[in-house]
Amino acid sequence: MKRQQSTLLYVLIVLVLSIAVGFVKDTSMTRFKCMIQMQDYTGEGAYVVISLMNPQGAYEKTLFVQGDDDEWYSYVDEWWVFYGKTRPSLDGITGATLSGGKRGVCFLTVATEKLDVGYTLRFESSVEDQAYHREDVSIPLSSKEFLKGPFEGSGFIRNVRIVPQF
Amino acid sequence: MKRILLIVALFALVINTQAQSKKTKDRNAIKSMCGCFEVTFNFVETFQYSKDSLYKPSKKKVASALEWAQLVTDQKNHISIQHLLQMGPSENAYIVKHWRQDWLYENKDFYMFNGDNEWLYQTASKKEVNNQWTQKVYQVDDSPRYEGSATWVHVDGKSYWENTTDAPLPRREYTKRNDYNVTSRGNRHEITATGWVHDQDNDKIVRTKGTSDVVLAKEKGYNTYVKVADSRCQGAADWWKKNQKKWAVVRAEWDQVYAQNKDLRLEARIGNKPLYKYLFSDEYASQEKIHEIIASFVKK
Repeated sequence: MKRQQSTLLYVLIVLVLSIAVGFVKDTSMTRFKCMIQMQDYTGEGAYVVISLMNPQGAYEKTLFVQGDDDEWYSYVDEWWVFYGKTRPSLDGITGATLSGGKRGVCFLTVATEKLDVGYTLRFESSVEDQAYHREDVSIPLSSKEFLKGPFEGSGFIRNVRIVPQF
Repeated sequence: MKRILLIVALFALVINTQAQSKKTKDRNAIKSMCGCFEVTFNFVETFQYSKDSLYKPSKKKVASALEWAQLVTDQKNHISIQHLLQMGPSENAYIVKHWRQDWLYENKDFYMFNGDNEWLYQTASKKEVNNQWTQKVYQVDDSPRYEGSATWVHVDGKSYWENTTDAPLPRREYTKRNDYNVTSRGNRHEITATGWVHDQDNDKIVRTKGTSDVVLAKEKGYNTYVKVADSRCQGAADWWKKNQKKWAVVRAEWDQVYAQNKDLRLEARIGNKPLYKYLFSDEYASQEKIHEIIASFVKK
């Protein structure tokens, strides 16, 4: 009887701890909702690549790729120099190309330690037979800066809004 | 004295006749690559030498196609063959202008690929190219690709030509990876009983100015061309008849560029559009527009 009680207690403790851990948020990563509004242009859909750039301005990580046919990735010139070397998996971080006038929504996950220390989000855009914009939009990865959006684009992107999902 | 002269003359005649007969064999071998072929393209990366733990080899590529190889020029020292892909049912086929190979006898002028859309102009001596044929291979827009000189060999019932030369990455590679910039192509064209084989042993090379080349990996290529009835490629043959004048203008424009005999650097895209897309368009039909667009891709 005593043995049964202690087993029950043990199960209860494990259950309570599991539920508690489930509610504890993983603060090591921060998620952002990203809304991209495209200009009203005609032609093929745009490939838009969102990269995490370090404080020195070098590529650190690919965060999202709008455009899932890798046949055209070489048209995103500067990113291709970075990404095309080792081609890490983009599973779960690709979507469809964005046509003129359309709005795209995606989620970006960045290590929280990269916030407010000089990193930026770079948006490159490329449309076949038209143009490539190496820095259509650039947004400092800063909690204060996000409040200043939307951020105007200089190429195929009209603007970008970033909403941290704290 | 007269007898000696006669012997020398006879000897020279025999040598000349043999050379002519050899050249005729060469020309016949080259021209046997013309016609309608069922083609298989087979490429596989074999050995990797990268020290990068993140290194990813290319996937194996196997594809097939119906190809029409059109004889464009047939002169004593110059043979030009234009390859056309024919896709879909023959009565409603879709034709794509493919690569072109020109063969020049004892050619001394070369544009050797050096990576990153650059070709270096080089010359060879008459002695170096004696009895040899240069194969010059062009892209679909007739811009340069690669070239090399070697002797056609006819032994033991076989006819083949072998050469190793530097080339740009093929489309199947440059759209998939960006970790090397030169393909050193080991090309072997062998005429077979059923058509011909394009056998390749290629190196994937990283070329950086001021340092030695680094071989990243090796690749085997084995493309078979099996001859079929010309009638199967009627769609492609008709397409060529209809479009050959335009492409003669394109070749003539490029010939003027090549005649400058100096290093050549080309833009990859203008307006995010490669040259072939301009030239494939019906908008680019006049000599003036063709000249303008080709000139704009040649870096000054």
